[in-house]
Amino acid sequence: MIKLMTAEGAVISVERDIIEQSGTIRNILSDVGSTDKPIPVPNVSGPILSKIIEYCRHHRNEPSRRQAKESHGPEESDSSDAVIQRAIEQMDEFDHQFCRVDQGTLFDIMLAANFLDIQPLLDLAGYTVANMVKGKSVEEIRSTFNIKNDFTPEEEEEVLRENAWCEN
Amino acid sequence: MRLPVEVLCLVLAHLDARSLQEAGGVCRSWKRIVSDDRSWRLAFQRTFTRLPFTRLQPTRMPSSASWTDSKAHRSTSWRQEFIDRLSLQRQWVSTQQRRRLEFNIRASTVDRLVVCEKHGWALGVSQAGAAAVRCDPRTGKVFARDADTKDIVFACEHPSRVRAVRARVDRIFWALDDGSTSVTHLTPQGKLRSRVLAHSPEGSAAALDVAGPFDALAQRLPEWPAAHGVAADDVAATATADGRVYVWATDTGRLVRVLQGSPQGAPLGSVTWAEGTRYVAAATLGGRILVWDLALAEAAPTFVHDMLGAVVLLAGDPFSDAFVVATESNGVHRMTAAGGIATTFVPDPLPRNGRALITAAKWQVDDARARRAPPAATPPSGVAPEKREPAH
Repeated sequence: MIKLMTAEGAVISVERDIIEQSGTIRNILSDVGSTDKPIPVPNVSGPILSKIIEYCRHHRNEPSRRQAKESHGPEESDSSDAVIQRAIEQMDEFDHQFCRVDQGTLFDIMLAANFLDIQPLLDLAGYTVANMVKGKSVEEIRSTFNIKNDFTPEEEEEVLRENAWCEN
Repeated sequence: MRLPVEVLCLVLAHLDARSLQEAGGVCRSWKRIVSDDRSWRLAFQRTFTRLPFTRLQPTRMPSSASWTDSKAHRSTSWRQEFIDRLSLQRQWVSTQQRRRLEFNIRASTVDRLVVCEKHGWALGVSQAGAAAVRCDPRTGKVFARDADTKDIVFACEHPSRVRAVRARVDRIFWALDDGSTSVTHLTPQGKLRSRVLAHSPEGSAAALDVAGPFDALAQRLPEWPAAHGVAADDVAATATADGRVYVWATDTGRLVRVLQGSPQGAPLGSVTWAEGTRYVAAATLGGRILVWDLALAEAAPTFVHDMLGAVVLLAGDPFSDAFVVATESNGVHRMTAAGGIATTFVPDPLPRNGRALITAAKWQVDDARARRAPPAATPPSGVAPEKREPAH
């Protein structure tokens, strides 16, 4: 068992093969060997870490996910699109349910997946957030994500002019 | 939004171009990410399903005002490439609006259309785009990208060198500017294979035609395929600028015959093969039509006739020595292999009220007659050419 210390200082235990889906943890473990000391994950809160472990537990026996990505030869290295496409094709019902959380949690999951280097989860969360952008107007995007419009009027006009090719 | 830039990039990488453009108007930090051309490269792949074989060149653009005026600063960015392709696609869609045919051949004109009735798809082939796509024959829409149809795009690996293209349901032939012919086909395993057939000794290919499976010829002339080492298989012919016609065996890529054109070596502009028969016809740019009878060993044409315009149709009658030739401005004629016009179906020359040209013609052999034993050299009955003459 591997112990992880959350942002709050709580310690959570998890099976080694589960948490090794995280590239970050995998690297730490290969550096230090086995350790009884808790590994700190200061960017990740307890509830989010529980979610992440839930995800990793579900995909526990699917080494193909990681290997499929790594086995790509250099000749295909420029088609990151294909990799993402494959990741989306591999999503299952659990994944879709997993992302049915509020926006704050979804962002936290994405940040944690980025920190822990769990590529399939990062793709899943990114894909989910992107779906919240798709088909929305600029105003709708701003209100969905609570983003402040920081363009000057001149800049805004320029953006509108550049976007003219879209309208037809 | 509390996602840092590197994570936000991953989100925006999932967007199609339209959403990407919209996202660029949200705020400054989003605009910076969207201005990164890598986002557009991904969006390009997402929308057109793959990267282009060649980037659009200003010389290959249609000369409409939108191209020449506003695009003085030609950029090589993916964003610009995307906008150019989208505009070309829109031009294509809008010219087809009466038919609502939303055909997208990677933003280029369609020269040939082949419909596979057995499997229910159509193949649109573009010479300028050096590519072919599979699409739905009822809607014209390119098949959606999924596991079964990843082969929707067929391409020639020498896009700038394609001079003529022909397609059949199972393979595509590209005539290249050095006189060679390239074949793209699907293997039984579903993989795409391309092969360049042997180079012609000299000259550049100007036109191309492909004969069907040579079963009819093999039956009728059993000695011919054996003599030339061609089993009942496919043969392609390319007409070249040096005035010759090269005949290829497409299974081995071997040059089977070289047919000599007119003694002056006038460049050939078109070549046509009467499927299932032994005739090949080519026309020079000056309007001279040359016909070869492949049953004979001679390289010289068996028949030469001065007409006007390109050959629209060459059809053989499998049961007699007659064949039919239509040229775009000189009518439809039935001829005998010995040479000489036997019947003229359309006045020679065409009545030139306006500028009527024959653009398509079809020769239909009577099925009932085809089932009977072939009589010798009698005029075909129940044979009628259909012709279409555009108003202008």
